[in-house]
Amino acid sequence: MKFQKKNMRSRHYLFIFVGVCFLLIGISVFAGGVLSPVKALATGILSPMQKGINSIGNGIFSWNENIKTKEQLKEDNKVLQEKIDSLKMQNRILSQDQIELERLQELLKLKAKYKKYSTVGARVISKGSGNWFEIFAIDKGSKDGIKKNMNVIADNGLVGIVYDVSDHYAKVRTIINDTSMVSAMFLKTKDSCIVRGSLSTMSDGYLEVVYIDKTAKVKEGDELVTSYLSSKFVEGLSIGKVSDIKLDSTKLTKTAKVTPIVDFKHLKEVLVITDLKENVNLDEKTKE
Amino acid sequence: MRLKRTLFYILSVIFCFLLQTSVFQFLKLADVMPNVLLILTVTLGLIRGKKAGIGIGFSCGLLIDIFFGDVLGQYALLYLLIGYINGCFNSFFYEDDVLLPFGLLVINTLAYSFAIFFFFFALRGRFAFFSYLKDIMIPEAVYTGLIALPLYKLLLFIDVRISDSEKRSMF
Repeated sequence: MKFQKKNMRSRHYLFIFVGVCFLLIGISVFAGGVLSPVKALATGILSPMQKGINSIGNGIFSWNENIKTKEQLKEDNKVLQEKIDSLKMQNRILSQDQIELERLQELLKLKAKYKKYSTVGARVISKGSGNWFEIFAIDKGSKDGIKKNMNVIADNGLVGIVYDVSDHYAKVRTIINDTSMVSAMFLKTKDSCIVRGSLSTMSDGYLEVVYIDKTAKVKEGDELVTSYLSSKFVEGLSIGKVSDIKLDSTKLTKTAKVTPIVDFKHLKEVLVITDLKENVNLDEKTKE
Repeated sequence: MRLKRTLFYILSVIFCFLLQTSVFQFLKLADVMPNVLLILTVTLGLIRGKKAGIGIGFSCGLLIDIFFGDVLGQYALLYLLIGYINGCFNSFFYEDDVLLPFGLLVINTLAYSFAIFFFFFALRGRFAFFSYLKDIMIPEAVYTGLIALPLYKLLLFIDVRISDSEKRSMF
């Protein structure tokens, strides 16, 4: 008798909690904003702890960077110094070109084509809880001016997009996440294509590029950047170098592989571009 | 004495969540990290029965949802079901037995991976099952199994201490 009673009670427990789960799913699908204070509370309590652990962890696991010998450092310094010299030279030439460009643009009354994007630096404080989705969290949130759909970059390459924000915490979905799609183009030829995040190909270090035009004159080693067509990504952010271009099995489009510039395994600091892409939404269904 | 137990549950959930999201990203082996929250849910479900399994599973899943999910409640549901199912094995549980908890942990990790694969990948048309199996599921199960033993022993130890003090206060 007693056993039965206990059993019933645990089953009631189950039903109540499953009910709560479905309620939560329902609320967050149909009225997501209602739950944001709860999220803000939880992240507010736990994210400082994550931040602390993360900084300690970074300190411990970068110990091998601190034990370089004097000779190594000298050699590095020499190489870098040479690099600086050559870059200085290049820079001088480029700045002359820039002046020339500005003069000519003014002459033709053209606006500058690539705007400079303003950025905010942020620290990665935790990674997604499993091995299935490439998601991470940064220590800046809406109070620091971060908004949903802002682009995130690191090492001069595209990392991902902010998909949820709370007060001092924002979640970033990387472009290698299995659910993400980025509309991209070839820097040289402006042929547009789609970079598809994929877990199964990323374990071999590349992403799939699909829907390249059959007639596009592209070759291996070309650089891919975010497209002007994209509705969420600002134009001209570098994604990676293309390889292995081949005709699709449908014979209508080409597919390729792209190796991302960003080292996704060792992300510590990222930059968030605070300019949002302004766009008129033509097609609601396109998901990026 | 209820207070002590509740405190133990809350602290262990928070501790495991921090382990999972912050500490183990530095300790990845073969590019996977172990699922510490799953270990916690399974272990406490097994030791304390269905109700504890449901409660712990729900809070673990909810934390994941809050921090990384798009929709609140999906991981909470998955984890609480795992907690409930493992609570059913409570009547077969003996403190000295290692084989049952260890076997359950590995089976649960695989089952969890299959569930994630089915609901979040196969339903979207990504069927590269064997590549997922090779790159994620099996390494994750092995690593989780390795981490599980010490963590299981630790949780059991604390739980036994709390139960003892509860019993003592009854008389």
